[in-house]
Amino acid sequence: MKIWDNKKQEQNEINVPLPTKREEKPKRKEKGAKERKDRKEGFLYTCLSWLVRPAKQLRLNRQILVVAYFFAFLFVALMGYITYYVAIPGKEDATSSYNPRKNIFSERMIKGEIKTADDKTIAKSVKSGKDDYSRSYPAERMFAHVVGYDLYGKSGLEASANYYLYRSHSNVFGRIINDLRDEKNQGDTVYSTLDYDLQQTAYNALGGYKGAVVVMEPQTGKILAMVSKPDFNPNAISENYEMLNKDEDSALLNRATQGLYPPGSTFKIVTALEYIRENPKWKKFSYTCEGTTTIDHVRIKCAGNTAHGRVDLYGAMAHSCNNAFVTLASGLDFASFRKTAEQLQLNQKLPINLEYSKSRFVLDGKSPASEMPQTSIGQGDTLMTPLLNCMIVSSIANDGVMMTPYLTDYVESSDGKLVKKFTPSIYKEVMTENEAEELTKLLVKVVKEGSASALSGLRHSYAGKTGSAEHQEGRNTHAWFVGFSPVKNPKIAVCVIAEDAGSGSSVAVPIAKKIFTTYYEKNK
Amino acid sequence: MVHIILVLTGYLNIILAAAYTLTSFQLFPDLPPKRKKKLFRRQEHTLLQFHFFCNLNLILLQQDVKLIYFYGAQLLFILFVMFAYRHIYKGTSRLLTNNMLFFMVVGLVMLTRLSYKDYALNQFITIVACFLVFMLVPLLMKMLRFWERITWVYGIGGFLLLATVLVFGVEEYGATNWISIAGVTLQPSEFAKIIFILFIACRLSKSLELKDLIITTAIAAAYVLFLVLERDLGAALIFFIVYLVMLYVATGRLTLFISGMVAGAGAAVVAYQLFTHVQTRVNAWRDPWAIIDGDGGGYQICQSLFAIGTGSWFGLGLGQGVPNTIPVVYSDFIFSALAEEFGTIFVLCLILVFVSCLLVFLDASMRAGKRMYKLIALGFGVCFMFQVFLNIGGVVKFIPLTGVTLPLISYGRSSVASVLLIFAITQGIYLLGQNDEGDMNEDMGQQEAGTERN
Repeated sequence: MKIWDNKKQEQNEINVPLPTKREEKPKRKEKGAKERKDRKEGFLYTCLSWLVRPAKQLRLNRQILVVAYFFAFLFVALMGYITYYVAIPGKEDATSSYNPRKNIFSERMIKGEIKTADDKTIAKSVKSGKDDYSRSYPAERMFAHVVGYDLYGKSGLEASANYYLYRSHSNVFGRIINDLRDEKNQGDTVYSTLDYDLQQTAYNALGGYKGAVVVMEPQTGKILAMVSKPDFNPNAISENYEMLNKDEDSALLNRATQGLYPPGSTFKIVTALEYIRENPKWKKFSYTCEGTTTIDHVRIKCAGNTAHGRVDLYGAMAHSCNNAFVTLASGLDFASFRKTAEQLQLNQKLPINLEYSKSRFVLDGKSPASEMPQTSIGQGDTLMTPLLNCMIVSSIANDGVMMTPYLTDYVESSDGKLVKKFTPSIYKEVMTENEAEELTKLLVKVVKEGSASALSGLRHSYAGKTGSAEHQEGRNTHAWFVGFSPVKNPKIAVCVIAEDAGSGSSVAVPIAKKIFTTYYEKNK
Repeated sequence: MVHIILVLTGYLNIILAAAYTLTSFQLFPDLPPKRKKKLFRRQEHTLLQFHFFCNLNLILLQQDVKLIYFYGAQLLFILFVMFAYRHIYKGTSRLLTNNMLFFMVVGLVMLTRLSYKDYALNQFITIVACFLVFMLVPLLMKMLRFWERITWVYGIGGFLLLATVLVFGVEEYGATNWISIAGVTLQPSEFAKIIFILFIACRLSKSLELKDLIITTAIAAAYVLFLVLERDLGAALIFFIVYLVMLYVATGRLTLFISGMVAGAGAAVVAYQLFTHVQTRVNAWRDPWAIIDGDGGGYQICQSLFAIGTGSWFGLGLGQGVPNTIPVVYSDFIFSALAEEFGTIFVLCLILVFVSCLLVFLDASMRAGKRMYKLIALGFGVCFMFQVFLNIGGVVKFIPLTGVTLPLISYGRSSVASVLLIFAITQGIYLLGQNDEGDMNEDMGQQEAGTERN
């Protein structure tokens, strides 16, 4: 301060406050003394003094104004943030099971309708008493699992879309009037991605089998159909809940997302991917199948003891040749195999807001070699959900990119205003585009000349893989099919599993075919 | 019938709060006294109506006769405060008094809703007791002028106060910043704050010599360090910012403020590396959903966000939500409870009233004659407002949680007492500023002195 004080002595603007009498302005003689004193105190001190010298016009009020602006800015930012948080509806927290406010609205709102993408109501509230509403499901059993129920607990869409169904974005004045009249407001309508016709086809095609069907759009992750059997009547669930809960067939379980099945030969897709990754020269693979083989002391046979003769990887895939697969798998690296499986989301959480099970892959670097043969053909301890199997085949169809599967397309207020639109999102790149392309070629082979040839020679092109998974001694195999269509620019991916139904090609492929047909009839 | 009243009062309260907010800004420009008087009367009526309808709501909901008496007691107290400040202390800021009452009403209503027995009654007793004692403060400030000169009593006293936690300290919420004397827990840092501001104001108003600045800065840094070691991060941050702002205003050098902020940012990075509790707080801020389970603090912030999101614009209505699911909702998280039940429009109004309150502080600072008064009022304003920012910013996930209370609204003896003291001293400064016409406008005086010198 002093330095500045001295230098600017002659100028007019000096306003440095010296409040106490003791510090009265120095007279000229003292000033000289101070100047000397500063020099004595060294260069650094001088510099620092210069830096912190008070401003020329030392009017505190101006600085106070600056402080006011500074805080105004802080609070405008804060208020903007709060407004943004509240104004953008539907955050990840809305449907969280940790939110104790999930049920708070049921007393003041009528839960909204759930509709399919083709505008068919699949869940609605109907008046059941003076002030009571209960849920009604016009499609009855067909959508039982995926739509779920709203009882003591909730499941399916009834749970995951609960937040939106109990919100109302209809006319504000209408809502206030309803409030005043002590009448409940109608919640918003949730349009799901589900397609009524596809669901119906899948439901009927699965027929009396237990099992599940999942239909997805590979490029968006939209779930078009999701069937699980045995089913239940959601309209009578409150009466039957006890019984269903104890049910041996666990009819309440959504097998599409929660059922854990041995993937059988559909898992050869994963094995093939791992083989391609580990062996750049995989196209040179060749094996002569004689029906049975023993590898690492494990005896493996091809379905029906068929000898497939000389096959490369295409042939092995097309005919689902177990012997060829256990042979090529015997050289695979366990740790790397696990890594590939986990990249494809086995052992991992799935990005879906439904009750689901994690698929299981148990091999790791320490597993004995004798585990490999069974694992490579999808037997052994590997278990998968139909949903994940569908997601994997969808990723192949979508150039290796796994989309986040979703069931809610958009939300509309009861008077028809769009409230929120859900958009497709990439979940992960689970394989390279090149790998996806090679796997697609393998799967095309399955349709052209292999176990899924029932899909060949049709108007549209298909790719897929069948499976016949053994699960219990002396019982029929589970019939699997995973596949997509068309091969170029795929629009639909399907996963079918029918429990104890026999072979994939004889049971699962025809079911899938019906679904594909319905899809193409609807989307000409 | 009850339902209609509940719904109507719900909307009415939002309108009243908005009307109050409006008047709290209308009163700033220089208005003709008649108009000003009318506005003040309107503001006070709005406040009383808001208080009445909130309590009506509570009484209807809880159906408890005690609440009627409680309402009566509060009403008497409010009328007393309005009367006392208007007639005994002429020249104090009526707007500051009203704003103080508004916060108290909002706080008491929410605490009554959360639990009359556990929080509201205690809070009310604290408020009344503190208020009556602090009524004397403006008077004493005027009569005993020695308080302006005892710089080092403040400097050392503040440290002694903070040091009490070393002797009587008890740990709460992961920080050792509470003391327990005869079963009463207090938070010394709440009071040290005031002493600290008085100290800094004394120092900076007397001399701006480099040597003195260095000493002052060193002592301020020692305070902050002490608080950091006590793990009272919120208080440390408040002390830090208050000092920087006061230094800036006193010297007029923005560079000082900026370099201080840069140093502070550096210190924050070091603190993040050194202390696990800082890391937890930051992690819980970054992605609370990832650590919603366990004791990472994610659960608390998620519950707070649920509450705010569910409340939406108009709120669920007083007594209609479930704010008790938020841990420590009565204290640090009371803002979320307000957002849930009164709605976002209401809490935005509340924030604006806080801003209005800051403007009153700054107005007091601008009007005050002496540099010291200016700096004290400014320091209090910044301290008060920055605490509001830390609290609200924390519970809405705008910034990491720092564990500070919402002044006058959160439940807490020390918090309420210290804020009431800050208000009382500021009123005293208003009074001194209005009466000390003699040394009014020191800046101008200096300008004249400067001209003279030439």
